[in-house]
Amino acid sequence: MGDSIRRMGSKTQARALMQAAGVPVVPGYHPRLGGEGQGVRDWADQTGYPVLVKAAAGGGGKGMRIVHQPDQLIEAIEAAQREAAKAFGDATIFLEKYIEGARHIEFQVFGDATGHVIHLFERECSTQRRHQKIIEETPSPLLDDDLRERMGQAAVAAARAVDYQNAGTIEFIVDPKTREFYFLEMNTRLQVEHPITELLTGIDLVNLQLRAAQRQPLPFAQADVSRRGHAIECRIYAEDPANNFLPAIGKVLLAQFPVAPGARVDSGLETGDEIPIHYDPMIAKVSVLGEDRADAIRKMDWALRHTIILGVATNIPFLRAVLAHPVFQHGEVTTDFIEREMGAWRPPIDGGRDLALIAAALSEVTIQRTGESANRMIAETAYDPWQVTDRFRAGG
Amino acid sequence: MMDFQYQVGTEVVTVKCEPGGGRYRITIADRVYDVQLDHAHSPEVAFIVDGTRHLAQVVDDGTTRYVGIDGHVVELKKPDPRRARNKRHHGEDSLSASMPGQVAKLLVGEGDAVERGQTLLILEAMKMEIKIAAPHAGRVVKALVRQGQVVDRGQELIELSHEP
Repeated sequence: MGDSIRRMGSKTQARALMQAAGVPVVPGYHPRLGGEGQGVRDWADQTGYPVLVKAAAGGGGKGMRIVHQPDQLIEAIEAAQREAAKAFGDATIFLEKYIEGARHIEFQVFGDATGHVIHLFERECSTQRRHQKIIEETPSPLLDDDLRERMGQAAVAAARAVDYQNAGTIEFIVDPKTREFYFLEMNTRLQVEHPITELLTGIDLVNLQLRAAQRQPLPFAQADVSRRGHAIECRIYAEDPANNFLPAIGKVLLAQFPVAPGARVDSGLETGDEIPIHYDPMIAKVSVLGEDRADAIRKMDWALRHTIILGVATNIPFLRAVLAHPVFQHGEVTTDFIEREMGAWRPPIDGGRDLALIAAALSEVTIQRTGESANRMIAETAYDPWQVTDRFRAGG
Repeated sequence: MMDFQYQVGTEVVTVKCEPGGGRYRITIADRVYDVQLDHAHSPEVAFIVDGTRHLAQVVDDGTTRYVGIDGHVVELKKPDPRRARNKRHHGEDSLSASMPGQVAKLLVGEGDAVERGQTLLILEAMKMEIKIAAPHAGRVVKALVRQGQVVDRGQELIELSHEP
């Protein structure tokens, strides 16, 4: 297993392995460390711009660059090497042809100690900002049964090629014009977006991981894996949409999450927590399961409206704007959609402004009541069967 | 009658609040709302306007009141009469941090001549780097931060003169 992780952990080695296993890969180039010059330029000229520079040990878009012009190539490679060295302790990078207007669709796979490998369907992860996934869904609106079947088989073949055991993800990019798919990389871990697969299939992936760690065989076969409905996940980032999405830090004065059938929240964030500069800005994941895609989108909007984080700016208003966008509604999002269509998006300036002013004034009026009436309000609460959640008071 | 003042963005807004008969008459600029308070237990405030019930969460950090309402977050600041803007003088600019973070690299020193667009400093937060570039050609009057220093959003980083 350590060996499969090593082999798939290096994106460059993984590509070679996949080619050997008959899994299609994007045309690529592996520059030597240091002293790179003419070779990479020749390759890029032949392949055609734009090209993508990626960290071999990478993930999450760190160290990744799209290069549009030959004169930006070397600078982009050097910048990507620096970022990769910093983020992963490994400056190795490689280049790929950049497929414009592509979809990012990945398959959840699972292998056990007996060599039994299955997939648990796909996740569409095309909705990305700065190469960072922000919304994932399953099933993919692009796939039909035939393409899903072929990609599923390729994913299983990819995992088998490295004797993969436990939960992994095979990432593909799909050209929606040709419906060709290419192996991108394998993530040898449980991914951020695994909740939507769990919602869709009803299978607890972490439970399967624990069983696999005990070398127990998978308790079911490929044919037993079924799916129901449509699941969506939104990643909540501490990023300020009004400040060019730069990281937001500070004290969380209030954190409230939605509670409803078919809604799932993965977060450790609580009222009073401090968000520091040292970690990734993702602070929560909100997922929903709907009857169909339209229902899931509606539920997700509801869930985001009821995800209330005050004191630190988040990308929630942006996520809701993406969900409402016709391109998303039609299931036609490609990986360049956000930059292309929503690059100029700004949070609405007067969204809820008068109502917020009313709420603020009312809260001041009620806070200014005497201690006696404040006590009366708490007493009322204690007897209200509809108010069963804990009552917290920010700042005492 | 109670008046409250808030700063929304750059605008200072006065909210007049007149209680009476279990309701509140709330005036914002020339708009008058007839508001019925449903309940208020901090941080929650629920009220009815024009037949629609709204649930808001209101919290405060001493200088800013954050209101979550109908999926929006609105920041209402206490108006600060001393807020002096445009304090630039003598053709000098100070570049400020566009995000909170750590000064990963300070690339210039006092007295350095810089070109427009030259990277002066690299700021890092949440594993992300951003470059602070010179908005115009000039000379570094003073570096106000050290490499490795953690800075707040808006903190001044470098003083830059227009003179070459």
